[in-house]
Amino acid sequence: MDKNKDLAEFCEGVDKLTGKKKLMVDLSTWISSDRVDIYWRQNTNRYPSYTPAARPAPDLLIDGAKELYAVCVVQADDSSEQLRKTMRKAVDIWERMVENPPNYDQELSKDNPSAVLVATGQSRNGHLFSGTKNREHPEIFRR
Amino acid sequence: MADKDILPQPEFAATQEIIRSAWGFAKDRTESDEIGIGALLSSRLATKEDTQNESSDPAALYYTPGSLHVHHWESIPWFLWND
Repeated sequence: MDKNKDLAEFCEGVDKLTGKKKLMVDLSTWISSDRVDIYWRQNTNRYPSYTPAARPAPDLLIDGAKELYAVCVVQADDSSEQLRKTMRKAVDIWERMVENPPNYDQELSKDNPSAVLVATGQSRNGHLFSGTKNREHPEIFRR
Repeated sequence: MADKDILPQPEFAATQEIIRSAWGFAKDRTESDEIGIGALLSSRLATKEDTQNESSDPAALYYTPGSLHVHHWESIPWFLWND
């Protein structure tokens, strides 16, 4: 794992990315900070990578100072079915992790993830589905 | 159902439905008091006011079946909401 990525390497070609890879860059840029590290499953020259313990594996690991999250990313702009498939994949990964903890060999703040999460391009807005599809409107709870 | 600091103030309807479905599947399969299942959302859900025009911080909403406190609603990093 190489965390010393050159800024020029990181920026090169970012504007040409499309699809899931662009979404992963956008999410990683949003989430990462001086207290939060991001690790990609794929070995790229943009972010440090982690070694998957089994397949299927989460797309990202978020190491947030005390909590570690395994994240399955899906570009679900056009199809809610893709999101549902990814949620099922996340449950499968979660079940496997519960029965056989991944024990990543990187130096992370926790040995095992606190949770397996699903993320989309709408996560930043507080939801998963796109636009007004799928009855995606906010509901305020009264207490 | 929504309790302060355990679940967000508002939730989007379809998102809420799919997250609760995943929680149900997970609960039927096995239990864990260490690893949860949920979604990456944002601080936009931290208040009842509509904050869509403000920048948002990442947050995790997840459920850990088998844990004493099964629902978790946490900022990333965890200390952003602890001031």
